[in-house]
Amino acid sequence: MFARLREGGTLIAWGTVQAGPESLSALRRQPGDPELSPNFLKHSDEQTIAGLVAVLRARQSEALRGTDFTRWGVVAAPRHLGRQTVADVFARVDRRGPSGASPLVIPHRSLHSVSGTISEALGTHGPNLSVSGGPGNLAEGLLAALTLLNEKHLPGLWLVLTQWAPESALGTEAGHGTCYALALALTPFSGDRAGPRLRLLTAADMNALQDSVSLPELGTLHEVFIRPGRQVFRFEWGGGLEVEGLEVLAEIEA
Amino acid sequence: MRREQALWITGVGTANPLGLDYKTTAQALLAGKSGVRQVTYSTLPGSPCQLAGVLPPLPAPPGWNENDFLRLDSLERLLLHCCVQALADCGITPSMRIGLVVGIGSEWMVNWEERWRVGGMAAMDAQSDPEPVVHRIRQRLGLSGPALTVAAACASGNVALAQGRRLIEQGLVDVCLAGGVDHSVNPVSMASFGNLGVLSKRTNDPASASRPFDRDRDGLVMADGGAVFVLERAGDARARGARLYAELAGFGSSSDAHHMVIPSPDPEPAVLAMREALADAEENAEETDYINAHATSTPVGDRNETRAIKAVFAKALGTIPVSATKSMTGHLLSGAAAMDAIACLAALEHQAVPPTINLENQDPECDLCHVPGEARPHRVRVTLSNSFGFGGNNSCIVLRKAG
Repeated sequence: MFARLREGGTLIAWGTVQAGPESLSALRRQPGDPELSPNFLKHSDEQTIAGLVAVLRARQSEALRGTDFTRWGVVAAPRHLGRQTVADVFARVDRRGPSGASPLVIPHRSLHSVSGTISEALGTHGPNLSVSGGPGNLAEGLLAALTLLNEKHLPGLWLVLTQWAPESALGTEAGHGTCYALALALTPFSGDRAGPRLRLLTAADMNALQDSVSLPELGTLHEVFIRPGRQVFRFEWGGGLEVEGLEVLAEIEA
Repeated sequence: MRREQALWITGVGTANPLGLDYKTTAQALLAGKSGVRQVTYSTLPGSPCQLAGVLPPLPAPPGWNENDFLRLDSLERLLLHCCVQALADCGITPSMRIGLVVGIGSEWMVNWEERWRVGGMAAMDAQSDPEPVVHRIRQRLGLSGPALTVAAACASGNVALAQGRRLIEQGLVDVCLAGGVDHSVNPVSMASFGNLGVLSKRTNDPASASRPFDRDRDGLVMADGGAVFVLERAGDARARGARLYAELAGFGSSSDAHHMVIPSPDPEPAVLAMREALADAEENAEETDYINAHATSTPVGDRNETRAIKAVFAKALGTIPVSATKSMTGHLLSGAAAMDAIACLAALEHQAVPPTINLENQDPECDLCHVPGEARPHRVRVTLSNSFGFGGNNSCIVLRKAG
């Protein structure tokens, strides 16, 4: 028995990044698009770098060949963006006064910075917004992206999920955490694009189902999309996400 | 876009430099008052800019202990005030499926700065992080729907309203609290914005510093505050006899994809957002009765917006009044779009257009149908409000007389 079906998004490509601080330094200079200036990401946060690189990797997918991204949207969902950099700014202000307050934190370490930078890099003119910025970023990102797609104004959008795990303690040299990024290329449901289907479920839908689990952590979230069959993930507020793999889709069509 | 049912604004909660409720704020806007003051408590000694739109002290909401309220951080106090007021204003009970969508672009920067001031660097570590403020508010108010933070810089409030509308239309909630707030008038944030070169330096005359479209404008004035609105379906609102502020009739958005700070010299992306909002509302451009401009009082931004407005409204431009209410409030950043929406509600309610104060010598490149100095009585059925933010975010909402 399937829950009441509602529309959502088809996942047609994805890209991932798992990088420590040294790798991110290299990616900052060479994120993987020769058309971007080497200084494009000079002042960007590490989560912005990882997010953009994940998108660029996904963009290489055969499924996206020939796609015009001009009207695509970008939804980014980072987690605790820029903590160390902001702490460094506070320390400089302590030492130097107002001149120590870097002007670059505003455009590059605010919540909107991730989606804005990715939109600029890709040249997309659809909407760009970032969501969450804290715990719950995965669920909020999916909720924002799939509801936006349901309106059917956009040919597609990038959902870019990022976070450090674990977050390094402030002031530690080089850090011990890994920055994760997952970029999903999503299009509205339609007959001509094949891929796992993602649907939002209301709390009432979820109450009618027996099996559901919490969303996995970002490092392994992409694995749910390559798993065949149907899976349901519960959100904290009671709603959920249904993922239908290609095998189940074939069953429906038969 | 033909919608199954109209979405109405049936409650408003606000705290901003002009007042701590909608009625006071609307009266102040139409009276041309300024909420901009010189500030020293929230600037570092030697900061180049010492002006801000100042938030009056917030009283504890009804039923709250004053000391408990004061123990909350500044953003939580502000958002709680707006949400409690909005819910009380509209009269619904938390037993319905109520969602919460708030535009906040700087939550963690504000939170970290407050913690750093009290406890130094150690207080900023991850294990000391509170729950996100929207999750805390959701729990305090017993809301059963989802809670989201959205950020599109100065466009955040419009984006939040649009997201709230989506949640209702797609059946995920029955009612949604949606709006935008900011509390960035803090020493380090003000110094950062000042070093970015975007703030006015008219310290000698604070009330005249924010002067959108004026030839002598020299930058924006930061401000604290914001607003939260209750959105619900027209049928539900009518059935319970709710007060109808306005219909959230249309929304449009686009990205410049140009620069993280400087708006695109090509007006086309901003034009697209405005046209999309009008099409969504099924209104022709010439049916617009009032335009609330984003107009932050920056030299480049005000001119660019003028070009975009001209491209959309063309021949109708000479008859559609435009005002820039940031001249009175300052720029509330993530709270700005919500604040501008209040100005549109005031225009709809009072059938008068708020003024642009400090518009003494109009920039010749900003030749719109301005309302300088004093409010103007005007038939208002359809309003359009622009909010264009850092990161190339362009957004536009259409609010229309409800009923």
